[in-house]
Amino acid sequence: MSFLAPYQVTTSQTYGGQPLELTHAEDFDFPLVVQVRYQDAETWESLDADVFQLANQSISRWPTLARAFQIIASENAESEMLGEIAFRFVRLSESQSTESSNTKSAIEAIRFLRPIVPSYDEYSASTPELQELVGLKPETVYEAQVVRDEDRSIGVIPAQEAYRSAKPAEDSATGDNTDDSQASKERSL
Amino acid sequence: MIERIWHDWQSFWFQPGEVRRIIYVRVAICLWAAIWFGSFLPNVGTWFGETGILDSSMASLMIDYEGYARWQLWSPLWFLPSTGGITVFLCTGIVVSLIAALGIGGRLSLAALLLFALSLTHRIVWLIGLAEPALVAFVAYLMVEPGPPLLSKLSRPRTSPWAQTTLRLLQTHWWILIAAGVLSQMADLIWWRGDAIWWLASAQRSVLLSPEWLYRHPLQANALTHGFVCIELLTLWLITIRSTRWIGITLGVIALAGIGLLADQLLYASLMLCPLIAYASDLGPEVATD
Repeated sequence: MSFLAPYQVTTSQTYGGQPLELTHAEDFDFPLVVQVRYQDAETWESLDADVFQLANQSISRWPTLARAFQIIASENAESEMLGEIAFRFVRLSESQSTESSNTKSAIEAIRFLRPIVPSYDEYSASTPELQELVGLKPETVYEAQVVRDEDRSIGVIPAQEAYRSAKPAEDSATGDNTDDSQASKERSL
Repeated sequence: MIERIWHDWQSFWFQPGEVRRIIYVRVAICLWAAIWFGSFLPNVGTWFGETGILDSSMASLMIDYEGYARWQLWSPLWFLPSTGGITVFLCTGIVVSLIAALGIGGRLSLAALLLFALSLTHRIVWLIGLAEPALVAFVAYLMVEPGPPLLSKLSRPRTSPWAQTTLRLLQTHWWILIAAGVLSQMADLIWWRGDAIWWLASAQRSVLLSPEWLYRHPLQANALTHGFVCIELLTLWLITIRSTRWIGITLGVIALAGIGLLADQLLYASLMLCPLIAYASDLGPEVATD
């Protein structure tokens, strides 16, 4: 019956589809926020909704996918899936910026944040200072630096040690590159 | 005893019925499929284009991660990686849905719709939500007895045991999905405690509800949560009894409005409205068993 496996997941919950019960109030239920940091800027900002109408919208299909990536991140910190999706966010954002002649500088870093989702009691801490005091702050699920070559190809290097996938001892046996920078996923833009 | 059970079983699934009862539910499901195909059009390049988030290489990675063989998730869309190709596919899917809604081609047009729906479902991999598996099942059920074309609605009545089978399959699948949802809710403390609606609003997953309003009106948050579950339970009970079915259908519409508007699962909720037509179609005059 294994060939029927794709059809046995009738509620799509294997990799994080919206649950039938709508919410468990688990962390996974809350869609990730995608933020980028541009070169010469010190603050993070959410992707521009005008240029990029996919992420950061609760009614889009992004929450379904974001839920899956949160589950993967919690199960396997070394999974490259997050790097792959981060790379595509950067690539898409920059290609759309180019198409719309956006004057913003290039993206230097990208991160996925699990936003603050306060309980009823925590909601009374409405100011950022109070939220900090009670330990309410967005959690970084994944963060990566964006690197570029002279030929405009881009890649991402996980900023968190846990997400770096290079394993020098194993890779040297197969003759693969071992440097972290080499392990970044480089693609032509 | 056994004879009675067997008779009831036959009567439930195969009692000959008027095939025109299928028309409305078929039109509703096929129109929904057209909307579903169309819902991908505004962001088709963002999702599936050459530089999209779910380009074919990313989708392949997801399939590999799941451990499925590629052939299991067959789709012509794997050979159409461009935005233009996928746009053409989606537009063709809309046309096929409309043809199936009209009833032109009968099972053939429904089979084509099923292939298009499966192809897109396989390509979007982890983007599938609650609606897609239900759509595939509903279209497959319609193939059992598609009913006459829409334009021949006034033609001579025709009865078939498969009309009853189709309606029963749709009704049973709908009932099981709603029951599974409400049982899952009842397995979770937040739905008993009364703060599930709060969490939906707090996570910005409900356009209709704001945390500010719910924070000032905690009783309403509690009432909405418990009321939601109660309405679902009442729907499941009353819709199975013929004499109270209209009440059950009305409550079902209210429950689905909750799923669509309180939890922003509008696509799923609107698809689940379609089998309610199958319940309503079943309320016509009974046809005597041969």
